[in-house]
Amino acid sequence: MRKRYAFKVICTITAGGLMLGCFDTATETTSTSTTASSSEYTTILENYSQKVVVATYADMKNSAGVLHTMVEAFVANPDSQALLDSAGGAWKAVRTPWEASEAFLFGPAAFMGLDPALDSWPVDRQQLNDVLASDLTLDEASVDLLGPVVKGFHTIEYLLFREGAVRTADSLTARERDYLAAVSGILADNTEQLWAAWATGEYEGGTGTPYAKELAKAGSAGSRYMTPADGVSEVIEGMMVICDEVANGKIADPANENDVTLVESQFSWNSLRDFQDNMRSVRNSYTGAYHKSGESATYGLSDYVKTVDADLDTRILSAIDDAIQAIGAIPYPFRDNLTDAGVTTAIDKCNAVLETLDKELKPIIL
Amino acid sequence: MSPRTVNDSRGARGAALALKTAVGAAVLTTTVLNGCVEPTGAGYAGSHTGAAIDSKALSAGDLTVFTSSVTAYDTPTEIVAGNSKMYKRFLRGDVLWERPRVANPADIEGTGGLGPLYTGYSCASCHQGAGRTKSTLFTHGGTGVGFSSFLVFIRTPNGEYFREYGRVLHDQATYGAEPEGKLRVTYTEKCYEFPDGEQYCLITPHYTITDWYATEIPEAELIMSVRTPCRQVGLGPMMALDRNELRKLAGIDYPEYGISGELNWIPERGRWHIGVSGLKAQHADLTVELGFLSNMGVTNDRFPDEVAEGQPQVTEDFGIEVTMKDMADVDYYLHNLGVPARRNVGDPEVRRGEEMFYRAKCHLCHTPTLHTGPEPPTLIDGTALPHLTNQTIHPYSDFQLHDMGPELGDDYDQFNASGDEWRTAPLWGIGLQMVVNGHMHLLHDGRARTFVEAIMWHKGGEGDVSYQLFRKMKKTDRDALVRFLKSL
Repeated sequence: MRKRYAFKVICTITAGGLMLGCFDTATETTSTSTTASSSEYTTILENYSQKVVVATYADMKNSAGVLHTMVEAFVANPDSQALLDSAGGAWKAVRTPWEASEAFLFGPAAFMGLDPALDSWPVDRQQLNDVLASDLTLDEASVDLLGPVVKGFHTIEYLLFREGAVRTADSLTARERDYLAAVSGILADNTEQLWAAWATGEYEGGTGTPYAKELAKAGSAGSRYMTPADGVSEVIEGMMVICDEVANGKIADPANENDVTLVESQFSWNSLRDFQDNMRSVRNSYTGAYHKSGESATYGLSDYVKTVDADLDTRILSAIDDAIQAIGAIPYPFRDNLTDAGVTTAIDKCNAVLETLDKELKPIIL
Repeated sequence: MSPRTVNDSRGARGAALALKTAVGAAVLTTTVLNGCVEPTGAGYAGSHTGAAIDSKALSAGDLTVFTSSVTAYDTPTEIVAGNSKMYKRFLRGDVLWERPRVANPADIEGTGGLGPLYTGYSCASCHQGAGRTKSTLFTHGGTGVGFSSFLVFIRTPNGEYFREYGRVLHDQATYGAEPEGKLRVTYTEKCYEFPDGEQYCLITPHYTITDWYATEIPEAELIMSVRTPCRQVGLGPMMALDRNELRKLAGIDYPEYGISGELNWIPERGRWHIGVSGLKAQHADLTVELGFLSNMGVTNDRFPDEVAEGQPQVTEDFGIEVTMKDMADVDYYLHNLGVPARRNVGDPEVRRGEEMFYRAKCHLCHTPTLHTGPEPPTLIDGTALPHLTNQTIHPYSDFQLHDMGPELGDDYDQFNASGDEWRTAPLWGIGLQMVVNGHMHLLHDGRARTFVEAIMWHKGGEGDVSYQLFRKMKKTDRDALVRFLKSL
């Protein structure tokens, strides 16, 4: 969900195509400027798809594989605190690319139900406890049939962490360990599917066309996007959705209610890092590079905006950086600082990004 | 809630920039329409730059939103987004609509109540992005894992409910409880040709229920109607429709085309209501209370008993599991979703397709223009919504019941609606279903996989004239008509 605005502007033009002017009720102008040709949009979308989306999902699937391996190693050596600690670290390492993917929850993540499957919140502890207390075989196949509310990141988090720290190895029951191995395996499968949907087109229910290709082909036959600009709009609106979510959902909800039970990633106390990675997702989408890839940016939205309005480009980048910094300035852990003044600042800074994207970036894309 | 400024900050800088860039775009790519410029590209015909908006693009007047992305169905109207108090209530409803319910006792207050029997774990499980989640009919061959994005209405041939099962087959259950049964579907495919030789294929579903929780119901004693989720586009303006206009429409018949719509009338809360909501217009409201109970197993003031009440697996009574305030906020959210603007209204191919739409007489039931009335609709808690009144809207539906022939019929009558009758599906926003939900399944049970298939299912019944006319069109004309539908 998000909000939108419409600008009320009137333009007139002669039959020959000469611009006479545009005006709204408040201002009048006769300025002209460049606009992107379809090929520029296509380049932006190609780079975005590969360098941001596929790169982020590749990191996520690799990290999820590591998490699964770590958990299995721990399950084989249940007395090893070191292995459990490594699994905790591995969970945080998968969390980064996932949170840094939340500016693109459109396409396969939405269609395949993978957002709820991976990130369902809250954890259904009652059902989880019932499953653990039962005699159900706890392998991937049987746990997979249980539905999203007892799977995904937060179920794994709940099994690995308490009060911001990795649990002690001896506090996990054998059933908890088996369950942990099963849900970690399922998480690895899901992240593999998400990557494949974008990168190879080979995924359950797929049409055979990688989503990266379809988005880059926006405006051509066979793409669900009728014009290249529709593709770019999807990217920008994806960025806006997560700004709105971080500001007015993830941070504001628990802060307004002063309710720690509403805090995301509350068992690991990873919340502030989650939120920062969300805003990095916005930055990555804008610049055209995944921040952890180490690759230099190719032609991205930012480069295009620079050619239209260099000042706007600077303002967008600094607004995003301000937001990331403001979230970092909230004292750790978020759950203990819901009423800190820094919370309001962070909300405002994230909303400021949203506002700039909506009112200034969005209208450029025609 | 942060003070999200909207109207007050929609000023100088943003607007000026919008001006500047709109001009630039217009110079490069324009079509001249009625002497006014129409920037193409994102294809709003001026919309979000505001330039000379073709009124056809404004799907719902002031309630139109300008987005063509995955959030197209899930965006509040400007009126709501621009008022922090309204936006706050909208967001609250949105969260409740989207967040999974968990089994009681829940860790977080107000999130519990799921099951023991249910069909989906949240509203959004079946209405992803306020649209229609790709049905598990197509992804799982029927009953899904954790949720099933369809409903199965069951009853006896005499129209009675089965005592052991009730009105709906609940094919999901929280851990430890047993679902009432499972649905399986198989399809037979049959291919046909247009007169010009192009092929199209239609799939006919065959439904069976297995794993009955209690007494197995033999097929001969069972009537079942399987229905996939409706898109939640335009629910507010739909509830605000001018009832007099609907009554007038009911009185207009086209005997030369065999078309004659009628309204559904619903007796509820002590009086009769015109039904507009639901696939057979069988509901007097947006069924938030019914949805919480029947789809998620969440008891509430209106429906205080579990759907599994009386079954031995209901062992614990958790009382009322969702408050009236929460449900009313969900109702508020639904009523205040905007309707996405049309795109590419000026595209010559789209305009030709629109002409074909009329030529095929689609418009006789898929009525392009209606109005919301002078009376504000009210929510389940009595909140009146005056901002939904007096709008010119383009739902592409007459909200009447039409006989669609026995092939689409389900033998399941609801009030005035016979087994073969269905409410004309509103088409607004339908061109974005592929972007929002990633599939093109259409009709009540999703059996049509493309626009063309949906049209070709109109054979027999009141849609037959359009079926015949579309069938005889040249391929280029059929393609144009589909392109027009994609612009909706």
